[in-house]
Parts: sequence; structure tokens; C-alpha cells
Amino acid sequence: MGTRIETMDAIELDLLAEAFNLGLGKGSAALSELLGEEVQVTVPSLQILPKRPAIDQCAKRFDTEAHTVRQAFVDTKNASTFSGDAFLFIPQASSKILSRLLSGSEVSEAEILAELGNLILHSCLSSLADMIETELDSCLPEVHLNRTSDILIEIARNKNRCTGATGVEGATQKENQRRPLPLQDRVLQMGVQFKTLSREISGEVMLFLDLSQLPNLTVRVRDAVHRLVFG
Amino acid sequence: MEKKKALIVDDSSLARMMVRKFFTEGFKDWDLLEAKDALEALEKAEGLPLQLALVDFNMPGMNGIDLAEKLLEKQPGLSIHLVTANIQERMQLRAESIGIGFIKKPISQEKISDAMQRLSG
Repeated sequence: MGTRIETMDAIELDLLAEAFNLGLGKGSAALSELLGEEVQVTVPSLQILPKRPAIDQCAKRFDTEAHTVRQAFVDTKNASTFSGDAFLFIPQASSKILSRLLSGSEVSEAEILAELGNLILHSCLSSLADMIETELDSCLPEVHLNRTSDILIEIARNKNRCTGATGVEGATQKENQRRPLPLQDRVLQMGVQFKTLSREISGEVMLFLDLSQLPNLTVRVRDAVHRLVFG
Repeated sequence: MEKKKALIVDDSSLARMMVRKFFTEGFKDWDLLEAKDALEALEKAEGLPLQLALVDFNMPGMNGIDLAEKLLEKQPGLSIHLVTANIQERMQLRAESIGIGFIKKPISQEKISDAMQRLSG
């Protein structure tokens, strides 16, 4: 079944960005309370990108110098309106400081990061789900120490099931580049960076929304826009 | 009688549309101006007396608290509320020190009404 919806319009993307912003705000406020200092957050970036290059670019940026907390999620209320992966990237140096500040040596670095991931990522995902009035099921956060690029590339490979239905097979590389990418090969990437005022602790939150269910997601988002603006 | 004037400053067009809806439905004696960032807000506030400003904190360029300070320089009597989901102690202290209030996101008609009551009180 084909779809005429290839992308969301500006106000719909704005709604997703605002939901992400709300969730991040709550997560940052909670982190600030934990650390006892101000946490500064950038304005969220939001773009629709080809999946593999988006993930490869992310992997290259962090390489092995950051730890990753990953929380996969799926909408369970509306037959997979959206699914994807939420990531928290923490530079190794920041992670060590966090561990020292929050627990001394009582709790492992991985456990601290898992808790942090749960705090921040779950806040973002809850905010998104609330905004489009759905429920989502998120997996327990997975912590990957020093393996950011490996994990991202594994995820890209596992989910990158571009089928032959697009007729790409057998075409020249130039012809492939001209064809519009199928929805399952694109992601909606939302990202934000944060740092404490002292600049000792920094990190990045990134959500990749799988666009293979874009028509369903678009319907939910449009309903939300209509409800909020025209009520 | 001339209408009172409020300014909403938020980089999210959705947020501005929601506030406009609240004003259209609930505050018919107010004119609402919109700005998508601090620069536009300062331009719109130039020479135009405002009674209320609702200012997002996290925006590209100048943040909401810095904008509030500049607005108060131009219009010392202006009632300003920072609209944010990210309410942190240091931010609260700074806001209190310059005499601005907070509205926790998501914004609602009720929260705007409370802010207006504080204006007349």
C-alpha cells in the first residue's frame, strides 16, 4: 500500500520538537537537582535523514570516547504508531565525575548511567507519548561502556532492512542516488546537548524515530496539533 | 477603551498558536503580539507599551531571562513570566532577583489567567 505522505509539515515537526523539549526540560531539572548545579540545554535540533548515514555520522562523532545508554521503544496503544531508539551519550570523563558525585564507590558507573538514562530518556519518551496521546513501551535502558560506535552500527545493520521492492537492485549507483529513499530507510532525528554550568559534565540526547510508520505517526501528530490549536 | 497588550515570545510556532488560542477564547480584552525570538521581541516592544510578556526560556540566540532583563530596561513596569519546563533553582533565583515570574510548561489558559491576576493584584 503506498502513501502520499512523504514528510511532515513544519507545525507537525514543531509539535514533536516541543514534546522533546518538554521532556528534556523535566529531565534536566531533575538532573540539576541531583547534581546541585544548573544544567544548560541547547535548543533541540530536528531533521529527517537517511537512516544509515545519520547513524554512521553519530557513530563517528562519539567513536569509543563516550558511553551510551540506549532505550528502545515502541508504541503499544496504536499498533506501532512509532518506534525507535533513544540514546544518551556521555563522554567518559563526565561519566567518571557523575559516578563520583552521585555515589562514590557504592554503585557502579554502569548502574549510575542506567539510572541517568532512565531519568532523562524516559522523560523525553513520556512527553512524546503524552503529546500524541498514546502509550509506549520502552525497554530497560542498556548501558554500553566505550562501545558507542559499535552499538550504533549494530542497530543500523539490524534495522536496515531495505527491500528489493523499491527496484533498487541492479540499478547503477547514480540511479540509486536519484531515487527517493523509501520511508523505512529514513529516521527522524531529534537531538539536544546539555552541560552543567561548571562544564564538568556534558552529554547529548538523541532520539531516532523510525519512519517506516510515518503515515500512522503523522495522523497522530496532526490530531494532536488540531486538538491543541483548535481544540 | 484601548486594549491591553501582551507579548508571547517562543521559537515554537505551535506554542505561540496555543497561546493565541487561549487569548482568543479567554482574554478578548487583550491584544496579543508574537515574536519567535528575542530580537523580534525587542523590535516589537520598542515604543509600544506592554502589560504582560510570556517568554520562553530556551530559544536560539538570547535566552528568556536575558531577554526579560532587556525588556525591563525598556519597560520597567512590564509583568514578565518565564515559560519553561526546565525550572531549576539557580534560574528561579535569578528570575526572582529581576522580578519575573514562572509559568511551568505546558502552558494553559488557567496559568495565563493566574499571571494576569497577579498583574492587577
